[in-house]
Amino acid sequence: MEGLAACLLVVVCAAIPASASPSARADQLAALLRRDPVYVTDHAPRALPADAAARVKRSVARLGVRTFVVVTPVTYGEDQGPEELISLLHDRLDRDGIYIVVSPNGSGGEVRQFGTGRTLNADDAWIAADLEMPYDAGAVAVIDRFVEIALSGRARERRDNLRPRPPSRTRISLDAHDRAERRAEQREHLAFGAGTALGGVPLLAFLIWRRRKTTR
Amino acid sequence: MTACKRTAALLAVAFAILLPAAPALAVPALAAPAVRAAASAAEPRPVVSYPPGADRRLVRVSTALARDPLFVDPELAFALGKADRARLRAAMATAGRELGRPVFVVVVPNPRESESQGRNEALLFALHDRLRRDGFYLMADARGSLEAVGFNVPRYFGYSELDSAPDSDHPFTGLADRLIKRLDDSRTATTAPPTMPNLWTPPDPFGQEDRLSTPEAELKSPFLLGLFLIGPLAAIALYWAGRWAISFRSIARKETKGTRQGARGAPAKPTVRWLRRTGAAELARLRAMLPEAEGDPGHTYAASAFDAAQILYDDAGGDRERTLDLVGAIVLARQGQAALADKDPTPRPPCFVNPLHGPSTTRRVTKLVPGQSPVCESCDGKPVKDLPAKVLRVPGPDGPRPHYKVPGVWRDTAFGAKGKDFVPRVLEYLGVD
Ligand SMILES: [Zn+2]
Repeated sequence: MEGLAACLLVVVCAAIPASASPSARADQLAALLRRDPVYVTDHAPRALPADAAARVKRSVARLGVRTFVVVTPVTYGEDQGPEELISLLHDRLDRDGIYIVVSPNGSGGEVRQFGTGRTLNADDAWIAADLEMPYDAGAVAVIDRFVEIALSGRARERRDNLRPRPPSRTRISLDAHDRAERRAEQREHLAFGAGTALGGVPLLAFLIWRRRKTTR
Repeated sequence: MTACKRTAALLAVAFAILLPAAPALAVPALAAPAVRAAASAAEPRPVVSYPPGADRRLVRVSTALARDPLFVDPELAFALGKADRARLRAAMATAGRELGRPVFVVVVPNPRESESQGRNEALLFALHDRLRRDGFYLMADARGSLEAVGFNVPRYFGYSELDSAPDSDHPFTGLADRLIKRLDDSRTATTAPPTMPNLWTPPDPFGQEDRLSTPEAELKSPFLLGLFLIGPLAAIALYWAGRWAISFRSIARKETKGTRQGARGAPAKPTVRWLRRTGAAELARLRAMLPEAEGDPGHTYAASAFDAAQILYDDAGGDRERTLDLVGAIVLARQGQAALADKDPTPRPPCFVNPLHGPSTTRRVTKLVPGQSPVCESCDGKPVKDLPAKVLRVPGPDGPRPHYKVPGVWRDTAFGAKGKDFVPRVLEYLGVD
């Protein structure tokens, strides 16, 4: 399976004219999408599990509308964001359906529905999913949430009444670290207090006792 | 004085214990990074275990590199044109010849979510690990940043200004030129014996990217600091502050109440010197009060007490035999003051235990003499067994003796406790009519 994918990539790669332009990028991705409507990069295994492509396919299959998905880390630098890439891909594929372009961690994506057919409020559903999920939820989870909201038929409502965004893993970890740091600090203060009391109280008692003895 | 010396000795002991402990505390903190460095020197390759499928692109890229030393990932295919690639290949060939090592160039995105956690150096080490070929590895990522690592390459490599893209909005503009320049710079760099580099910061294990080092409470040094330094210092400071406060309070009390209540500081065996000094002071105080108190209810008593006290004081002089007369002078002078202050023609008799204690406040059994005797507040609060130590003693033929054992006017009147004609009887004793 992996070997096959690698072979395909090599073949596609060889087929692309090696010219330095963003449209070449769209040409290459369009070629990939013609073979498989879901393209998931292999450059981000920490955000995308090995079965990410299969899970995305299962999610978007529930929409009942043809859906093209590109999960890629490449921000194009030169004036080309996900929105422009979707237009270019639609030009090249010339097929109706929902187009999704999103980064591996699930943030900053874009969705667009072309043509008629089942009407899903894809824009609102995507915005709601994007804002409801933690920043590092991963593309698979965000797409899954998008499908759920789109199918609920209440995308607009969801967008206007967002569920609270759960904290990211980084946030959780930072908070835990802060708590542990405070605990450690408290224990250090306690140790200092105990040491001070142990060192000070007997000496004070001794001094007072000696003073009493000599003045009586 | 001895208090100071002992305190100093204690502190010295504390320091003697603390000082050898300090380096012992510091050593583990300093040693930890050194131990880690030693461990990574012995194990140069990153030890990252990948979950199944997570190293797919490493397999893909290293397989391609084995066939062709220039690898441009499909995701970044647009970054280098055909002509750029040809120029780059030429530069790679030249560099390879002059370095005597293979040269690999990789153009590949390396996001934070990659197996190398976005660390380009770690990615090159991982590729070298897969390819199992030493040489000069150069890469560019999706931000146009360059990274080079020489594995057993006979050159000295330093930091290069070419490594970050000059224009972050157009990261691939002039990428080929930067890569070629970087190859040329490496080729012409100072020669050095070939070495294997170390990867100082390997990527975190999968799923532990957000793990932060747990802050450890360092309990030993604050404890020891408190135990040996702050605690003892605080105790000493508190001790002296307490002593100062107590002495300040007693001075303040003496100042406000005068010597009428003199239980504290009244000696049980006063010297003649002390008695003369105190007597002079009490007489002076009473003398100052008299003129203003003309017509007061206590004035008559005060005036005659002053006369008697003055005569006693003058007649007694420094004679040890007449110690009790000096005591009587002090008692009379104080009674005179009390008569004026309290507007009382019959001031209370002094404490029987020691008349120098001041006026009595109550009567109790003292077991010193039969029956009850007037005592001051301080003596009232003491158990009977403690009283003999407080008794006023004066010099006698066989050493000091209690004042009530000395025959004479003072024993007969008990300093005014017996009978109501204390002053006249004293004057009579003095031969004054
Ligand atoms: Zn007394």
